[in-house]
Amino acid sequence: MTTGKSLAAAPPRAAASLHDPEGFGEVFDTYFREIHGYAAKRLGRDAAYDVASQTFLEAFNKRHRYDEARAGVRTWLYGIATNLIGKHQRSEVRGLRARARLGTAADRAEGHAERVDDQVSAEGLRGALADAIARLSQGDRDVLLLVALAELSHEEVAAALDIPYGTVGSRLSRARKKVREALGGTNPMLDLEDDHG
Amino acid sequence: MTDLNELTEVRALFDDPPAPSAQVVAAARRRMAEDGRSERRPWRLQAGLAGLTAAAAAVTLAVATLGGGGSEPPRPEQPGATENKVGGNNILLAAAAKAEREQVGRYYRTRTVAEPVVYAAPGGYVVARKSESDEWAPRSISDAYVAYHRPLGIGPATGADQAAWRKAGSPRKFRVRTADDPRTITLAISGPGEWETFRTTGAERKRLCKCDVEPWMEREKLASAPGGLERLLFPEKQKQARLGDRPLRIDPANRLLGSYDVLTEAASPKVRAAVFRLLAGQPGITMVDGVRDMRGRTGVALVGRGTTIGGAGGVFDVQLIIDPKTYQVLGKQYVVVTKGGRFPGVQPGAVVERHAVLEAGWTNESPHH
Repeated sequence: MTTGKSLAAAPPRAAASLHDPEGFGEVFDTYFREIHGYAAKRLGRDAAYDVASQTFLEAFNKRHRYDEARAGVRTWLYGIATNLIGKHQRSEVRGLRARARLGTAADRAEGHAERVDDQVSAEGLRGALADAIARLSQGDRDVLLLVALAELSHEEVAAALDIPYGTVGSRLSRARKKVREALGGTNPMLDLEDDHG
Repeated sequence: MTDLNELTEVRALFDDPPAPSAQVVAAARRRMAEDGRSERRPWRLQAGLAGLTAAAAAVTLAVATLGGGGSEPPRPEQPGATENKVGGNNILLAAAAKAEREQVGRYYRTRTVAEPVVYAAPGGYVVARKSESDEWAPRSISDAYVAYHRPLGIGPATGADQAAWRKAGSPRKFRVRTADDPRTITLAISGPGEWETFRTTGAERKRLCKCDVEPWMEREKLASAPGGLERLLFPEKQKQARLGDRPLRIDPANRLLGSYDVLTEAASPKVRAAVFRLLAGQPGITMVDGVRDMRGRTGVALVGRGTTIGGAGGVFDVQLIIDPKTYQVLGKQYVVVTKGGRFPGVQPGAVVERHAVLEAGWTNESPHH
């Protein structure tokens, strides 16, 4: 995530040009690829275009309402993108669960199915982790992924999601607990069947 | 054994996607230029945004608004449990007074045993995956955050479940349905696993948080503003109100779940005291004496009813159990009132999602377990 950091430090000039329709192109050029990458990680490439292009359309339309004092441009864009990703919540959860099943299938292929007390394979752990993230509430997942993937600070997450600062810490600690459950546990999903989801 | 860091593991789960093609970038730019409003126009709330909040709220807390169940008295769930409204507020006020006198130490340590995942087995008993945690949250941003965690394995949840499991021939494996997910999985009885250490160094915490003071201190600031405690415990309510949507009614169950989080995490004595006082004045929350937690300890339970949004998940009584002598929070658990999708197959009266707090408080010790 080196890109995220270097961009975060980059351009106060982008903020200055926000209110000018022509100048908004600069904001687009600076951040589009990063926001697209964030959406692609959470939703896959197809939905990433929708989310990223909609993010910039909304940002453009809302540019007069942008409050520089409250959030940096990058934070503001992540907030819009995260809200849009929330509309694809089902598809995000479906994707994570598919990855959880892949992990389980890998375990089975390695003959772990009957050996539940064993530590699961690396793929199995990834599966358990994906499953844990799928089980988080949307609010907790947003905070976890804004910190882990976008490397936003707590203050930035609060501004991006429009929630109190103190809530960010609570949500993050709740999400981390669930992640620990997944990483520290034996994989409970040994044999997936009757999958109607 | 190397230490793990949850955030690093999460980051590693998501591969770097390929950069968008030049065509994709150009199309998005064109969309912005062509569909975007270039004139200053009156702002209108995006319909999608309001809908989004509702969707987010639907999963934000396990139990939420809807049913007016909060005003109905919860029935005592366990033999020997009796309803006690009069003594209740006194206990909460005494708990507040005690919390206020506590001294902040170097770490806030929370040791818990939990059943984060429960399943109904075909033999009519509940099977739970249990785990144990020992979490050290530092007072200072410069200190490391350390959590020890180990799985305790999978097995029948309560003593009654154990008996039912034996009656069914003590099967080592069973097929169960999972919560909010139509998958059927096969589970096998398993024992405790190894402890693992999760550590985030002070330097990394500073880098991630980009802050000089601990998040828990910020919470105190928030809580001391007018209406701030409510905002701290129920942020969704404020957000929804601001978006002009129908205000979310925070039912008694949600109040208890939000309060439990603050009471078992690093928080200043002032905030903890304020949470106890807030609970003392809450409509819809009743007191039941003689409720057992998952470790068999008996306490006074604050009980609040909640219905999942849409009602399909079921109706629950959330119990927050307090030791009437030490005023320590002993744990929380759900009593199923009406069956639903959240715990498929679990019968009314069953106690699920039990969390027991073995220890919670400020200490000057260094992280260990």
